[in-house]
Amino acid sequence: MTKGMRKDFRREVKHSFSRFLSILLISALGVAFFAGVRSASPAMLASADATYDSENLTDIRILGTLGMTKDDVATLLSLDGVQGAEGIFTKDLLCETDKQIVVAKALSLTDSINLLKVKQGRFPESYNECIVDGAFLEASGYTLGDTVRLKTGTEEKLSDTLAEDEFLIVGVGETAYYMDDDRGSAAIGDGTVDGLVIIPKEAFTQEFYSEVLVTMTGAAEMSCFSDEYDALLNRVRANIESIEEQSCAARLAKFRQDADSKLNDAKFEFQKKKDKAISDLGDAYQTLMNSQAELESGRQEIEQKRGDIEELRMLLDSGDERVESGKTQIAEARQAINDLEAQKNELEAEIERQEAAVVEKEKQLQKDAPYISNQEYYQRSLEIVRDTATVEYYKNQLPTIEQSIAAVNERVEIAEAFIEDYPKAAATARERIAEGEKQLEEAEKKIQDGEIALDRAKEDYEVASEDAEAEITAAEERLQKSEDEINNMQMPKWYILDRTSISSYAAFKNDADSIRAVGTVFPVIFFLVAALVSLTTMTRMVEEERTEIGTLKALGYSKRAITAKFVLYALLSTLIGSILGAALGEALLPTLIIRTYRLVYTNLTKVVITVQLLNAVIAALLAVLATVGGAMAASVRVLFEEPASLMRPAAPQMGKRIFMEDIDFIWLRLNFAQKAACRNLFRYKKRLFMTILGVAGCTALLLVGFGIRDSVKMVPEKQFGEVVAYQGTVGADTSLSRAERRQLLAKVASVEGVTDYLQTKSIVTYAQTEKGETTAYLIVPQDTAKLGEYVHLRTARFPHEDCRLTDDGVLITAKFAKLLGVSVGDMITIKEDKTADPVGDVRVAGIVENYLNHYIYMTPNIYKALYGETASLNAALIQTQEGADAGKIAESLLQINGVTSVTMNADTQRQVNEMLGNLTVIIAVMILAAGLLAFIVLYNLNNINITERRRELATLRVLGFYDGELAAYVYRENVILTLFGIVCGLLLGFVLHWFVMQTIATEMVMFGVGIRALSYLFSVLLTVVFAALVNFIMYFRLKKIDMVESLKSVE
Amino acid sequence: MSFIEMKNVTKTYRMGEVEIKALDEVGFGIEKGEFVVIVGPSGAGKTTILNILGGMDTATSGEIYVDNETITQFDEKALTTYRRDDVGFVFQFYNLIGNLTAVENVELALQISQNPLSAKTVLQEVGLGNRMDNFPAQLSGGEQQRVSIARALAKNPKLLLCDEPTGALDYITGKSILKLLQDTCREKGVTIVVITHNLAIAPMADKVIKVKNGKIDQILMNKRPTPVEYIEW
Repeated sequence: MTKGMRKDFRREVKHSFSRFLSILLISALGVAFFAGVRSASPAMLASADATYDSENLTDIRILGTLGMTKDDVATLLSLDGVQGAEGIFTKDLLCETDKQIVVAKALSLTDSINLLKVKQGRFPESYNECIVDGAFLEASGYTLGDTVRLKTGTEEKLSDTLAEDEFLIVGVGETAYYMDDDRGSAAIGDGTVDGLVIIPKEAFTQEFYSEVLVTMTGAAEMSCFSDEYDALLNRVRANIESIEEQSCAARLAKFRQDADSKLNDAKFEFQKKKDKAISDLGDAYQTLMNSQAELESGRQEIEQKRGDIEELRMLLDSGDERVESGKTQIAEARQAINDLEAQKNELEAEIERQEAAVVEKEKQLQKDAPYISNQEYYQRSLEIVRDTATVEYYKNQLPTIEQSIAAVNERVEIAEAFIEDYPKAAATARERIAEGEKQLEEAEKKIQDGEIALDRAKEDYEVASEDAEAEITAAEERLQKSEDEINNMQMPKWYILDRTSISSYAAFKNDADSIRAVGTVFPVIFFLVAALVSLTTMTRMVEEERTEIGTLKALGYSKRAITAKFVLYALLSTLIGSILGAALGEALLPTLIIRTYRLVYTNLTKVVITVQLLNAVIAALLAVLATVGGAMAASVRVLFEEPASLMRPAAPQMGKRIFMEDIDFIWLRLNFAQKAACRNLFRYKKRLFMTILGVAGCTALLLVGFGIRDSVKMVPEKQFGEVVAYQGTVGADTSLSRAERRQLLAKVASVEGVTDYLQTKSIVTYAQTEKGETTAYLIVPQDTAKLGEYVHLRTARFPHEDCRLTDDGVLITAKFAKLLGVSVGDMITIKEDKTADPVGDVRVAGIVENYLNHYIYMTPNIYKALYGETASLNAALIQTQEGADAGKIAESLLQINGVTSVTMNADTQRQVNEMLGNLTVIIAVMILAAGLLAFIVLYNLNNINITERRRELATLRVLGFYDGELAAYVYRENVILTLFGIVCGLLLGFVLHWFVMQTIATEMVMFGVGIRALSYLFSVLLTVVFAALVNFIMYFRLKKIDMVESLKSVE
Repeated sequence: MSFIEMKNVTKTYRMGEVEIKALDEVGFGIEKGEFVVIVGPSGAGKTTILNILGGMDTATSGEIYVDNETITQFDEKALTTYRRDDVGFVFQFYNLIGNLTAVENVELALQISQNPLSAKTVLQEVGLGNRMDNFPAQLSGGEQQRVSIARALAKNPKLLLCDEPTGALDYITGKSILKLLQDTCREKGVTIVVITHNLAIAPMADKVIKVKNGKIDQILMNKRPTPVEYIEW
C-alpha cells in the first residue's frame, strides 16, 4: 500500500466515520449477542457449581426407610470415592406465632457438608439456640433475638425429636441447598415448608439419622453438570449400593431386637394395666352392690316407721271415742253403784229385820219353849234355823254386792283416770306422729337420691366396663399388630439420591437449559442479520467509490491494492466491533442474565463468568468473513469493469416492469402512488430481502418469546383447568384397617370445603417398552366409572374424543406414550422400579391428554390380574368447593389421623406459576433482542434507501411534494415490506417456537405448542412499534434532504 | 410592477467563519410570457438566483414578487405550495425517476398539481408520443430532457425554470431542446427563465441578464430575439 493510499484510507475512515462506526457497532452487537447469550448458560452452571462448592454441598444423599445409623456413616466414610459423610436429623415442625402457624423444617447443624453461610448473627453455640433462614423470618415475622417455640403438630411428642422446645434465634443463614424460595413439602400444617430452623445436633433426641450426606472425592474440582461428574457419581453410587444390603440387614436386626424388647415391655405393661383395670372394675361392682343393699334396708326401715305412725294415728282416732264411752260407762257405773248400794241397803235392812225376827222368834220360842210341844218347838226351832240360814245367805250375798260395787268403782276410777290422762297422751302421740312423718320424708328423699345415685353408678359402671373391655381389646390388637409388624418387617431400603433430587438444583439447571435453547437459535438469527447488514453496507461503499476505483485503476494500481482498502476497512471495523462485542457480550450478558435469575435464586451467592472464547472467536470470525467477503465480492465485481466506464457515472438503474403489471385485475386498481411503490419494491431486491428478513426476525423473536411463555403457562392451565378435575390428593397410611380407613374417609369428607372423594391405589411404577422407559404414577380408582369425573379422559389431539377406562386395557398419558413409543393396542411392561423384575405386560387401550407427569390409569380388575392381589387403596382424590381455601383444607386434612400426605393442586399450580416468572427473563431478552434487531436493520436499510435515493427525493421536493407526501412515498414501501416481513416472521416464529419447545421440553412435562392469539397480536404490534419508531426517526432525515442535491450531477 | 420582480436580493452563505456573498443586492424584473436567459461564468450566482426564484432556497435579504405575491415572506410550507403550483423545473441532469416510465414520470408531477394538463398530450407536444411507456434508461439524453420538460409543463406552471437544460446534451440535441422551450414560450405564453453559462444562447431570449460575482452586470433586451435555428455555438 502506498503512502498516498494509506493517507486515503485514514481519510476515508475519518470522512465516513459514521459508516465505519455503524459497521463496527452492528458487528459488536451481533457478536455480543451471539457470544453473550451462548455464554450465559455455561456461566449460570459455573456459578451454581461454584456456589455449591463454596458450601461443600452434598453430592449424594442417602435416606433409609428405617433411618441411618452411626455405623452406616462410618461404613460410608470407608468407601472408595467417598470424601465425607455426615448424618443429619431433619423434622418438619410447626411454629405458632401470634398471627399464623409456620411450618419449619428443623435441621441439625452440619460440620463439614452443606455448610451454612451466616448472613447475620452467629452460629448456635448451645443446644437451645438456633440459626434460621431468611424465608423463615419472612414467614414468621421473627427477628434475631426472638425465641422460636416448636411443636410437632401431630400426636407425636416433641421430646421424641428434640430435647428442647424453645430456641433462641442467634443467626440468619442461607444455604445453596435451597437456592430459591421452595423449601419443599411437609405432612403437617398447610403442607408447605415455610423456612428452616437449624439446631445443633445435640438438641436432637432422635436415635437415627434422617439422612446421610455424602461428598465425593474429587467432585469439587469438576463441574457438577459435567459428564465426568456423572461418571464419578455412578461409580460412587455403585460403591454405596454394594454395601446397602449388608447395612440394611444390620439395621433390620437391630430394629427387630429393639422392637421385640419394646414389645415385651409393652406386653408386660399391658398385662399390669389389664389386671388393674379388672380389679378396679370388681371393686367398683362391690361398692355398687353394697350401696344397693343399704338402700334396701333403708327402704324397710321406712316401712316400719310408716306402720308405727299409722298405729299412733289409729290410737289417737279411738281415744276420743273411748273418752266418750268412758264417760257414759262412768255414768252407767254410778247408776249401777247406786242400784247396788240400794240393793245392799235393802239387803242389810232385810238382814236386820230377819235377824230381829229370828231373835224375836227365839225369844218367843224360849218363852214358849216350855209351853209348847216339842214338836212345835222343833218346828219352831227349825223355822228359826231356816230363818238364820236365810239371814246367813243374805249376809253372804252382801260381800258380793260390795265386791261388785268395788269392781264398778274401780272401773269408774280407771275410766276417770283415762279421761283425765287422755289429752296429755294425745298431745304426745301427735308430736310423735309429726316427728315420725318428718323422719319419713327425709328417709324417702334419701332413698330417692340413693336410687338416682345408684342408677348413675350402675350406668357408669357399665360404661367403664365397656370401655375397659374395648381398651383391652384395642390394646391387644395393637400388640398383635406390632407383633405382626415386627414379624412382617421387610428389609429396610436406602434411597440414594443425587443432586437432581434437590428441587432448586433441578429448577436452576432447567432454567440454564432454557437459556441454552434460546442461545442456540436466536443469536444466530440476530448475528446473521447483523452480518447481512454489514455486508450490504460494505457493498454500498464499494459502489459509491466506483469512480475512485476507476481512477486508481487507470493510474495503474493493482486490483489487490485497490481491494485492500475496502477489505481493510471492513476488517478493521468488524474486528474492532467483534472484539468489543465479544468482550462486552461475554462480560455483560451472562452477568445480566444471572443477576436477573438471582432475583429468584437468592442463595446463588457466587457469580462466575466463564470466558467462552470459542463462541467469541466463532462470532468474530463469521462477522469478519461476512463483511470482508462482502467487500471483496463487491470490489471484485467493480474491478472487472473498464476504468473508463468506472469513471463515468453508473448507468441509471434500469426501470423494469414487474410481473404485477401483467395482472390487470390488480394493477388497474392501484393508484399511481401504489404502482410506484410496488415497482420500487422490486427495484431494490437486496433491500427488499433484507428488510423482510430483519422484520421477520424481529417478529419471530417476539413470537417465540411470548410463545415460550404461552406454552409453559399452558401446562398448569390445561392440566389443572381442563384435564384434572380434582383439587388434591390425600395419601393414607397403608397399614390402616378397613374400618379405620372408612373412618378416615368419613373425616375427609367432613372437612369443610371437601365435596367428594374417590379412593384410589396410587403408586409409582416403572414402565418399559423396546423404545423407551420411564417412571409413571399408576392410578387404580376404586370406582372405575367415577374416574371420569376426576380426570377428564380424552384424546390428546384435537378434536378431543372422550375415553373410558375399561378392563380392555390401561389408559396412559400422551407424553408418556411418546416416551415409550407406543400407540393404542401396544403392550407395555410394568415394573416396580427400574431394576426390579417385570410385574407383567398390559395393553394400552387409550392415550389421554395430560401435561404434567406421567400416569397409567388401570381398573382394579387389571391390577388384580397383573399383580395377583387386590389393589389396596392408599389414597383419595378429593374435590373441593369452588373458591375454597386450599391451604386451610390441606391443614384440616393433615390433622386427620392416618393421613400421611396431602397434595393440593393449587400449590403445584402456584409453583409452576412461580417458575413462569423466571421465564420473564427470557422474554425480556427476546424483546430486547427483537427491538435491537428491528432497529439496526430498519435504520440501516432506511438510511441506505434514503442515501441512495437522495437525488430522487430532492427532485420530488423540488416538484413540490410536501414533507408528508414525500414521507408517504418512501414509507409506503416500508410499510408493505414491514407487513410482509411480519407475515414471514409469524411463520418463522411458529416454526422456531416449535423447535425451541422441543429443545427445552423436559421429560415430565408436555408443553403445548399453541401460541395465544394475543401473543401473535403483541408480536405484530411490537414489531410495528419498532418499525414506526425507526421510520419516525427517519422522517427528520427526510426533511433535511437538500433540494440543491437535485441540481448536482449524477454520482 | 413586473410579473416577477427581484429587489435588492442578497444571499450570504456562512462557511465556518467566512461569509460568502453569493448574491449582492440583485434586482431585476421579468414580464409575463418573457423568455429570459441568465448568463454568467461558473460561481457568478446564477444557480442561487434560480434556487431563490424557484422557492428552493431563501434570500438573506431583499424582496421577490411573483405574480403579486411576496415569496420572500413565504414559510417553508407556502414555498412548497408555490413550487408545486406555480413553478416548473427543468434540470441539467433531467432528474427523472428511473423506476417510472416517461408517462409515469409526468404523471408523478400531475398527482400533486392543481389544474394539470394531460400527461399524454404534453408528451406528444414535446415529441415523445411514441416513447411514452419507455423507462428513462431506455431514452436518450435529449429524450429524457423532453420528458423532464413535459413533466414541468404538465403542471401548467406560471414560471418555467431551466438550469443548464442543454448542459449534458450534445449540440444538436441541445438545440432541439432550446427550440422546444422557445416554442413553448411563444405558443403557450409561459414565462421561462433559462440559466446557462453559454453566452451564445443569449440572442434567443427576450431578455438577457448577465451576472458576475453575485451582482447584475448587465440587462439586455432583445427587441427581436433570434430563432434558435440561427444560433450557433
